This record gives sequence, C-alpha cells and structure tokens, in this order.
Amino acid sequence: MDELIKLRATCVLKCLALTVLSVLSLSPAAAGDETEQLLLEKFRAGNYSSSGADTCLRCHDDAATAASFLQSVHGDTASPHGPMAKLQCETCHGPRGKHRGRNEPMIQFGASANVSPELQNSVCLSCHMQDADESWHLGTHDIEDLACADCHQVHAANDPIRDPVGQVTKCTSCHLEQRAAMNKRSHHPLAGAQAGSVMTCVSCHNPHGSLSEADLNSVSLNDNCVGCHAEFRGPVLWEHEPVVEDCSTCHEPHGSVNDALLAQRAPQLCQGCHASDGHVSRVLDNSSDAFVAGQSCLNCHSQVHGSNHPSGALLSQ
Amino acid sequence: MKALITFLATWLVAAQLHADGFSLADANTSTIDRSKWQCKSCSLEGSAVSGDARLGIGAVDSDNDQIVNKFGSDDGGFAVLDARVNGRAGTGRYAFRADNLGTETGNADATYRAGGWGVDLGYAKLTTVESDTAVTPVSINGEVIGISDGYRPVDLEQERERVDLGLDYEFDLHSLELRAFADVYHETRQGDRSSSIGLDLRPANYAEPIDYTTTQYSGGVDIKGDRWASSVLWTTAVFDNDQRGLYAESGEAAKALAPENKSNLLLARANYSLGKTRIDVRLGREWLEQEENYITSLGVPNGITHYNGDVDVLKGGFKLGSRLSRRVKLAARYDYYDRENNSPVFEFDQRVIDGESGDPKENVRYDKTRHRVGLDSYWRLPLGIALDAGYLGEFIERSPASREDTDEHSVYLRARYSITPLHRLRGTARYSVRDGSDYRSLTADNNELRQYHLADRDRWQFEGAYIATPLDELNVELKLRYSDEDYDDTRIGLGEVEDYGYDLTANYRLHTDIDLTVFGGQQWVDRDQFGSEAILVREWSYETDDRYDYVGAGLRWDGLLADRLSLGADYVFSESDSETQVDPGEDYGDYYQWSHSTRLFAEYQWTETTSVRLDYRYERHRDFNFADVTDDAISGLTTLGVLGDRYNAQLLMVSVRYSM
Repeated sequence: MDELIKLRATCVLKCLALTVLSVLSLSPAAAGDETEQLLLEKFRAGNYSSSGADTCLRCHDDAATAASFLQSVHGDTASPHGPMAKLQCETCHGPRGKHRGRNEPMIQFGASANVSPELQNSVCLSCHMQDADESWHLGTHDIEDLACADCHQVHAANDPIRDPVGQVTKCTSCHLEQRAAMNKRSHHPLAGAQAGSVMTCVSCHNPHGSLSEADLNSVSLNDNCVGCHAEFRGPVLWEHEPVVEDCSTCHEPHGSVNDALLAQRAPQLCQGCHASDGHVSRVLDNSSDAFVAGQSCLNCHSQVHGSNHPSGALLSQ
Repeated sequence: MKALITFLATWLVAAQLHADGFSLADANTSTIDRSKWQCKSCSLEGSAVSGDARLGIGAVDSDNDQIVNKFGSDDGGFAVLDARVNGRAGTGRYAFRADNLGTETGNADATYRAGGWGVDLGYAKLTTVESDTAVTPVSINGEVIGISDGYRPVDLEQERERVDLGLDYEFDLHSLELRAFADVYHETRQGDRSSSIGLDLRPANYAEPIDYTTTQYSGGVDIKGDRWASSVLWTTAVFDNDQRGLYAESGEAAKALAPENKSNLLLARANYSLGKTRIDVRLGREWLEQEENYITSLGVPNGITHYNGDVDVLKGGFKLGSRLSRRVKLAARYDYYDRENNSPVFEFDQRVIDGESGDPKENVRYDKTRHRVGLDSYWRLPLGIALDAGYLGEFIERSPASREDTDEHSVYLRARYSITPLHRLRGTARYSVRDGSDYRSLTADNNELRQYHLADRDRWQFEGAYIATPLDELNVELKLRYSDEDYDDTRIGLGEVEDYGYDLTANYRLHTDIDLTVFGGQQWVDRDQFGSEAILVREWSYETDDRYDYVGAGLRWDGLLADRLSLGADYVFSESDSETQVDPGEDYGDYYQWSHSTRLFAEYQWTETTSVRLDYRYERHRDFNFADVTDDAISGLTTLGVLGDRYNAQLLMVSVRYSM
C-alpha cells in the first residue's frame, strides 16, 4: 500500500512539474514595451558614466531637490551600504549609456515611471529585499503590482510615509474598510484618529510582506497582541481556552461597534461557547438583571483572560 | 521524498529561465571606471540642516476628559512641538521628528548615523480615557479593597509612557554585509480600568488599578550576501505588575491581578534568491515563564508557593515563490506553530471569598499545534485581465478541548480587469469549510452546544471594487463586500453571521490649488444565536443587528493671497449601533455611539521661512449602553454608574512653523 501511495505521489508531483514547464513554454516571452526592452539592454551593456553623480548633477541641478536628496537616507554618502556607496545615481536609475536629455531614457519611478512596477521594484529589492524579516516576493502588495515608489518618496529628506500620520493616511487610502473602522465605537488609538499617537498600521503589519497571516510582524496573531498587552501573555494557572486559541476569537482588531473591540457583546459572546445548566443556559433579556447589566457575565467572571488565583478556576478571582 | 525533491528542483530550474530585471547583483560593472567618481556636488554647504519645526500653544474646552482620545489633550491649555529635522554633524547625519510633543499624547524620535554606526532614541506617551462619568463606592487602600458609604467620581484613564534606545553597526566582511544591533525599550502603564470583583459574595464593578512595566531587550545580527540573507534575533521581554492582588478587609484574597511574566525568544530567518525564485524560511523557539507567588496559600497544595508556569513554543515556516514568467507566478507556503504547556498540574481547593472550602479542581494545561499550508497562483492574461487563485489549509490540534482537531480548507479566486486604463474592476470570491474530529463537550455544557470557534462552518466571502478616473481631476473608488458564515451543524450556539457593506470615496481636484474629497459607507453585521435550558430543543434565540455608518468630506485650498494662504476643512460623522432582539423575551435597549468631528485650519506664509497657522477642532460625541445602570438599580450589584459619555469639545491652537 505504501509503495502505491509513493508511486501516486511521484506521479502527481511529476505532472505538476511538467505543468510548470508547459506553462512556461506556452507563456509568451516577456514582451514589454520598447522602453523596457531598451532599458534592459542598457542595463546588460553596463555603460556607466565616467564621473558618477557629478555627471547627473550637472543637469539635474535643482538646488532644493538635490539638497533634499542628499539629506535623505539614499543620498547619504557616508553610509557604507547605501546607493551612494555603490553606483551612486546609477545604482537605481541604471547605467547612463548615451543618455543626454530626452535622447535615451533612464529608469524612472513613481508618477513618471517608464517601466513596470515589477521592474521598478527589482531595483529597490536589490538592497531591501535581502532583509530577512521581510517577504515581498509574491506577498500581498507584490501580487497587487504595487511599486515601492507608490508609497515611498525615495528622494525626500523626510519620506512622508515614515511619519505616523502619513503612514496611516497612505495605507488607508486603499484599505477603505480599515479607515472606516478607525471611527467605530471602539478602535485602536491609531495616529490620525488620536492626535500624537505613535501607533500605526505598521505597528502590527509588515507592508513589505511576512510569513505570518495577514502579513503580521510577529509569528502569530497572539504574539502581535501581547507585544503591547503583555499582561495577557501568561502563562497563568487558570487559562481560558479561546485566549490560547486566538485573540481574534473574541476581538475585532480594526474596530467594533461594541466596547473593547469585541465581536459581540456579553452575554451573547459568552453564551456562544457556554451553555451549562443554570444561569448560562437561560435566555438573558432583562437589563435590570445582573446577568445583563453592568459588565454582564464579567460582573462575576472578570478574569476572562485567565486567572492566577488558586481558587480562580471559574475566572472570577 | 525523491519526488518532492524532483518537483522542487524542476521548479527552481524553470524559474531561472526568465531572470530579468535591474537587480544590482546582475549589474554589468565589468567596464566601469570609478577613479573619477568624487561627487564634488554632494557637499551640503549652507544647507546642512533641513526640515521644519512648529511650536504651538492652544487650549481645549471640554467638560469630559474622554476628548483626549481624539485631541490628545484634555481640558485646559497646552504647548506642543511638531518637528521634522534632518542635518549633518561632522561625518554623521541626524534626524529628529516630533509629533504633538508636550501634550498627554505625543511622541518623538531622534537618530544619529555616522559611518556604519547608528543610534536611535524614541519616546512616546499615550493617554486613553475609557469613561469620564464613572462613580464608585469601592475604595482601595494599598492592596485592601472595600466598599465605603459614599460615592465618588473615579477616572478610568490609562497612561502609557515608553522610551526606546537602539544601537546598530553596519560593516563589511569580505563580500558580506553585516549589521549587528541591540535594542531596549521600557514602557510604564499606569491608571485604572473598569473591572469587577466579588466582595462579600456580591459582584462589584470597580476601577482596577494598573501599574505595569514592560521591558524588552533584543539583539542580533543580519548577514547579507549577493542573493541571500540571514538573521538571528534574541528577545527577552519582562512584564512586571506592582499591583499583584487585592484583599478584602477581612484579609481574604479577593482577586489576583495580572502576574509578572517573562518571554525569551530565539528567532532565525533566512532567504535565498535564485533567478526569479526566492525562498524565505524562519524558525523560532520561545520560552514563556511565570513565577509570581500566589496571593494566598488557601487551597494551594502544601509546599507550593507559585505556579512555575512554563510554556515552550516552536514556530517555523517557509514560503517558496517563483516568477515563472511575466505572466505566471506561483507560491507555496507552510507555517508551523506548536505550544506546549509544561507547567505542573496540581489540585486546588476552590474557595470563595469568605474562605469556605469548595470542590478541588486541577489546573488545565492547554497545548496547541497548528499547520498551515498554502498555494497561490497569479496569472496575467491578455485583454487586461489578471487572475489570482489559491488554496489555504489550516489544521489545528488542541488539547484539551471539546473538539481536539479542526481542519479548514479555503479556496479563493480574485480577478482584476482593466476596462480601460481609467476604469478598473476587481472581484474576489472565497469559500472555506471547517470540520474536524468528533465534538465532545468537556464541561457540563449542553451536548448540542457547538463553540463557534470549533464548530463546523461554511463561509462565503465576496468582494468587489470599481476604481475609476473618469476625468483627469476625478478619482472614484467603490468597494462592496458580503460574507456569510453558516454554522450548519450547530443547534445551540452561534448559528449564522452575515456581514455586508460598502465604502465609497471620491476625490475631485476642482482647480490646481483646490482639492475636494468625499467619502462614506455602511456596514451591517447580523447574527443569529440559539440557546436552551433543555437538551436538543432550541428554546430561545438572539438576533443581533450591528450597524455602522460614516460619511465625511475634506477640502484643501492652497495658493490664496498670492500663494501665501492655505485653508483646509475636514468633517466626519460616524455612528455605531447595535440592536438585540430576544425571542421569547424583551429586546435589549439602546447601544450606540456617534460623533461629529470637524477640523479647520488656515496657514499663512509670513516670510520665506516662517508661517503662522490657526487650527480649530470641534467634537460632538454621544455614547450610550443600556446595560450601564445606576448603582442602586440592581440589588446586590455595585456598578460604576451610567458610563455613557456626552460632550461637546473644542480646540483652538495657534502655531508658528519655521522652515530650515
């Protein structure tokens, strides 16, 4: 039987491999437009300028732009790993070749981009995607064909997206549902929603991709949450199973019409999992009842995240 | 295994066929002559400092401190600093940034880099107010809690204050780029939050004191080669609580507060790129400890003083992704998580507050193992069509639990279609189904109950979007979404959840200097839940309808008064509402929150480097919860009173900005 399973697995994997090769052979060769092809050919030819950045700055001499660039992280001539320590302007814009005005293009980014997002990003990724804590390749924003320059201003001394409010503004310009949730009854104190807050989308998510669900910074959702809510990290003597399972079992992290980011209010939330004989299995409909009013189930079972009291098995102490 | 290796090898070889791009590692530098690359133009004489700094003074007029959740300041005057400054000093480069610094909520960070060295110093303060209307007869003196005769106002307010320091050094070693780093952050969190406690066998809602400290140390090294990188990170996080427990006036231990805990994490990550294929791998191990002494010895086995909590977590995963061609991309993912609770198990007498003995009970250790596998494909088809399709499987084993194994399979299809470059459509459909091992209730629960996070579930999700630029000056985006979760095997518990809504935003540039944005949307979440005191029969039901509405507009007008004056206005109205119908029974009452938020500003460019700005904000807020009752409304229940906050607040600030 084992041999049969191995044989079948082998056949399936070989078929998949053949499919991959077939897809490749059937896919049209990278067509690209003329500019892309020209720039790729220039890149392969590697005819770099004779004077480096001095060559470029002779024409691209707008004082404010140059000053801003030289104040930026990419213009830092002292950085041992920055573009100025490598091929200077041509690190990103490609070899000069015969470029002299409009006669021959250089690689451009952002609003004036002349190559696809994938090709633009291949420049940035040369240095940045070697960061081991990021996984851009085939991540959410890569699949969406986002270019790095769609979010970043790489020549600016202060890239707006590095500011807390600028960062949240940028993310929510596409993530409309999350922007809306910032005004719900309960929500996290994101920059912009609360003046002066340092919390941003990037406090939890890695927009450059990660190996975690929803591109979270931490390995798991709970790891992310206890980064700020360390009092719930535990372990404690009496654990509550859904807390160990996943914080999102009960909470909506982007905002909720209920207090405390709860997906449902108590007692309904609690009765979704508890129906033992007695008060828990009853219909609870009267706000003059201690099972509904005040903090509902939490009037007595206030330790829903776990208790370290020796007599805390019912999460009440 | 041989077959798997064959498949992976084929994938890797195939993926190199179209390895084109502008990667620096592929640059042809064979003919480059850098002997004349001096960058004489790179000096920053006369412009060594750039950026701007804004100093403002203002006042907030509000009779409710909850306004700090919006304005960052409560009632009274304040002075504030905002800054973005970059400069050079010696061979180094520095940056300073400040936001709202000087108020109850603000932050700043400073960076200095010279050569390969870098130092970062950060500061953040965050104040949040849960409610400003709470009253309580509960008094806390040190660790002793009791109920006094009179009621007094109590602040449900928390303040976090954090300082962090980072140091790193970048250097080359042969052809490798290395970065060594060490970071430490220290956060204090103080204040009070609403909670509840049993006093004299009666529940009392009260303001629970918080006095937390979190300190985290981390250090590691990043190593980069031409086509690979790796990183090793060690993190130790320590949580302390100066308030370990509360005791009744009789001396009984009434409540154990959050115990101190410690986490040690060792995490290794690596990636390798071969042509258009990249593999990312990570592997980590975390040790969680908790050794806080019990607040009482009552009910504790002889010789035991603390829990000795010990949990090991092993986490790992990889993603293998290839751009097989410009039209086809494939990725495979795997993620592993294993939590093993090695803490000791003892039998504890469950004693209530008056010290009477109860039934003995063993503490429970929860273990969990999770596997996630995913396959994603991306196809760019002719005629402006792009398709993504994939599968995600999640397999969880947990113990003990009413259902120890759950398996969830999800498939999705996402399509993007450009009708024209100015009109784009997107659509996503997802279907997932969850089932698992036999469901056996571990507690005295109704055998027909299915806990919603373990129950069989079918889920459909649909999303659609229309993104258009019908005019050069006009952008419109409309998003629609619908999802349905059907717990089809649940007779008692959560039965169905429908979640649907839309978001709309439009931006219109009326003129080169005038920009107008309008937006709005709605969301509805409907839940059906069933319960019973009997077995098998559904005796009662809840129907909960949540609704959220929002609408807003923004206007920005630059270039006035010969390009010296800018005006701006923003307005948002939002309303959260929840209604619960009970059958049979009395429907729940009002549970809502709404607010009108308005911001206005005018900024006048006084000189080339100096501008003056006037900011005005207005906030009108109401929230209500039918469950908030006065303290004497229910016999035996002590509450925090009616917590609904109703306030109107205004902020006026004048600031001067200096540009460097």
